[in-house]
Amino acid sequence: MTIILAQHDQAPARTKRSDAMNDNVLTVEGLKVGFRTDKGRFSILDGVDFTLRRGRTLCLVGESGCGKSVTALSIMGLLAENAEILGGSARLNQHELIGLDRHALRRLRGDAMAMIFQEPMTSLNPAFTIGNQLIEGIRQHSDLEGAAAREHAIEMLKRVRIPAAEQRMGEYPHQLSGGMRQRVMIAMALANDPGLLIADEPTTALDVTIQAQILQLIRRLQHDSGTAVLMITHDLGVVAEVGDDVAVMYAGRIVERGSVTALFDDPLHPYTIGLLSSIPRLDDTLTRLSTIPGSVPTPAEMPRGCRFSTRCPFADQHCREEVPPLAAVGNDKEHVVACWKAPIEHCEECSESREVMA
Amino acid sequence: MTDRTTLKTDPLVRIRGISKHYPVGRDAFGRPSAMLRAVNDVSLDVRRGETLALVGESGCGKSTLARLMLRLIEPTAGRIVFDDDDISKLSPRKLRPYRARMQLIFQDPFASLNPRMTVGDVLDEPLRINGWPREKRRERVAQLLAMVGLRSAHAERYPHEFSGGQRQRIGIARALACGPELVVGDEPVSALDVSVQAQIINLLGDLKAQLGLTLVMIAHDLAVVRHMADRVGVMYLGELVELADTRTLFSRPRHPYTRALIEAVPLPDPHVRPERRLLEGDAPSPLSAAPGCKFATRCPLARERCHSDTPALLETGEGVNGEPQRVACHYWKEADMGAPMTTAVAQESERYRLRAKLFQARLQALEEKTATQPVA
Ligand SMILES: Nc1ncnc2c1ncn2[C@@H]1O[C@H](COP(=O)(O)OP(=O)(O)OP(=O)(O)O)[C@@H](O)[C@H]1O
Ligand SMILES: Nc1ncnc2c1ncn2[C@@H]1O[C@H](COP(=O)(O)OP(=O)(O)O)[C@@H](O)[C@H]1O
Ligand code: SF4
Ligand code: SF4
Ligand SMILES: [Mg+2]
Ligand SMILES: [Mg+2]
Repeated sequence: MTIILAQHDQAPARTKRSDAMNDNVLTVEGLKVGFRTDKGRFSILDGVDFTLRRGRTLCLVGESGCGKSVTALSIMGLLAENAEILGGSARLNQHELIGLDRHALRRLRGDAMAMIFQEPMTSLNPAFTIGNQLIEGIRQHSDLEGAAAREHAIEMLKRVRIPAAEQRMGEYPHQLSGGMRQRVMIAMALANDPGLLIADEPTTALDVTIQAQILQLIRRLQHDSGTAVLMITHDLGVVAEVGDDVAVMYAGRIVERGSVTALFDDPLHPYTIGLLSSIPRLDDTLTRLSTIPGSVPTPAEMPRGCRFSTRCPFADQHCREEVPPLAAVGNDKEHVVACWKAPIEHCEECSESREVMA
Repeated sequence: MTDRTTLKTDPLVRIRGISKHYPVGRDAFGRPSAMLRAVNDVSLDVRRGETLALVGESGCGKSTLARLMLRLIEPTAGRIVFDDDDISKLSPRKLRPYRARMQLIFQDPFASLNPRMTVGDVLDEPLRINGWPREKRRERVAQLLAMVGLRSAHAERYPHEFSGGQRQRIGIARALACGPELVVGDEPVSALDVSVQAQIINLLGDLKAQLGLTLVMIAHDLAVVRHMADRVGVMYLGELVELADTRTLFSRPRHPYTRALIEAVPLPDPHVRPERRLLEGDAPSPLSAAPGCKFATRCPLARERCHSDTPALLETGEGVNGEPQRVACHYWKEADMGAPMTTAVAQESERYRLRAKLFQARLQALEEKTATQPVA
């Protein structure tokens, strides 16, 4: 991983003070990440901004490939070798993470911050028992040893509601079902009471009944410990269910951000609007779904201005050339959008088709 | 969706007491030590022109049932009758004439497409195998591409040059190449992004209506099922536990498992965060041959009888248009507690509704504009 930081990316002192005031656990500002591949260099994240407060859940939502996992891995210091951090900042409790050396990052992982993945086997070692792995994680990051560490490990398994916890300690990951493995991974992630938990699509591979159990579990544990959760998902149902705040990502940029109710009741970005109306619903009796035409542009063919302009029905020349800034357009200053024409009902030419609707 | 009054036609596929058991493990004499009951004694009709959905948790036997229906695998027991012909025991050679009439669409079309073949070759292959003359094949390939919303120039390109949604369009075009009557989709939209998923769902609906297809859809997203299906079969550990018309199933589920499934769906509405009664634990191993109801280990209504008597799939009443609601539960009357809370109509704000309308209206206006312009 290469780190190339520009001068202006140093966070101004003003934001640091407000970090403390707002109880901010994580502050990400202007994060830019690229990849070197045999086809050239591609920009993947182009200025990601958000903050996450103690005890809150921020959902990072977006379609596959928009950069959700890259965002998470940048924060955790787990980016692939061919990744380059091109700018920006990510602060955990006011301490800069970008540019930290391996050792410092490893100490923070599993202690101050922890991550759970879509596929639990990526963080469980098939060669060791559940108990071994849990105890090892606890010993590395606390002064608990021997019987005390073992007791804490069993306690963690009980907290994530694994039946017959003591017996499970001696089992190997492959002996557990998918839902059970996900619980073990959550137990490992939460063993040292991290201030920040990043969950990258933790329920995408699970059945709906197991998903409901896991989401409830994360919510309860968070309620008890005050952990801040960055929940990565592509499922707007999950967002509505667990999110306090939401950041909508499209092609490597945050295009809209706000409280979960603001986002669902007052969606401002055309992409958010299109996304909300294209999901089938349980109360649904419609014959046709609304759609968004086309698909996400690949990193090699990213448009210059607004990245949604290749699919947006309101796009014009200005949109195609200039990147819209992420800014509030109404009274709610926390609700920001990156669109030249939001809210679209106030934009004259956007509403032209009103007659069509009538 | 099909007009519900036309549903009572004769079945295209009749499945009777079908089972697929896999021997697993080996004892000291090299004999299988256990039987995995992937599908166990399922009876079901697929009616001409309907969309039948199969739902249930991972490993409950949906794909196996679909493959049995298409005779891609051989049943351990039971009969499959396709259009009045018993195909359960036919040899691969004798099955060949039926192959063109029934097709499978995969979840990941890419895995099923040869990366070294152009899209044109991919679509040409089934036509050639089925003896289409060369002159007609070219035309048919262009027609298929148009049908799924691709351009004829796309025939020259390779699968990896396409996005996930486009690949699924290719997968659909290939399934439709020889004009099948029955199309089975094994999670055909599960791997797609939401915005693209909606395009494919609409496409499948349009093609079904246009071509008079019979669709069997395997899906784990219940909202997708609610949207697409005329009837729904719910599976649990290799067995069919409930079968009803879609509206009845979602508004009045009578099997405790069906209810639990529907109530577990996260709703895209932050104003309703229902306190859920969640199912405990997960499905037991399909190896277990314990008597009684398979759901008894997780069922909130389970009692002694459930652990000894296996409940049969019985008619419990009528749904829409006299459609029978079949349920395999001794105590379905207690499970029938009206509409699950997650099916309540979502509250949509005025603002959202206005913007969603503007978005679609503007799209439509643009489409009309490009449609009237001469093609470049
Ligand atoms: N060839 C096989 N040999 C042994 N067991 C098999 C075989 N094929 C399927 N099974 C088992 O049969 C059961 C049903 O599998 P199936 O693939 O039909 O489930 P499914 O409902 O489609 O699940 P999913 O939602 O995960 O696709 C599973 O326990 C599976 O492991
Ligand atoms: N090691 C890598 N090398 C090159 N490109 C990568 C690498 N990792 C991720 N990408 C690309 O970065 C983009 C964002 O990926 P990711 O963050 O995984 O998306 P998602 O939002 O689905 O989690 C994708 O276009 C992906 O192909
Ligand atoms: S800036 Fe323009 S192209 Fe981008 S979302 Fe807004 S209207 Fe659409
Ligand atoms: S038969 Fe018994 S265990 Fe099975 S679903 Fe009905 S009540 Fe539950
Ligand atoms: Mg990801
Ligand atoms: Mg399957």
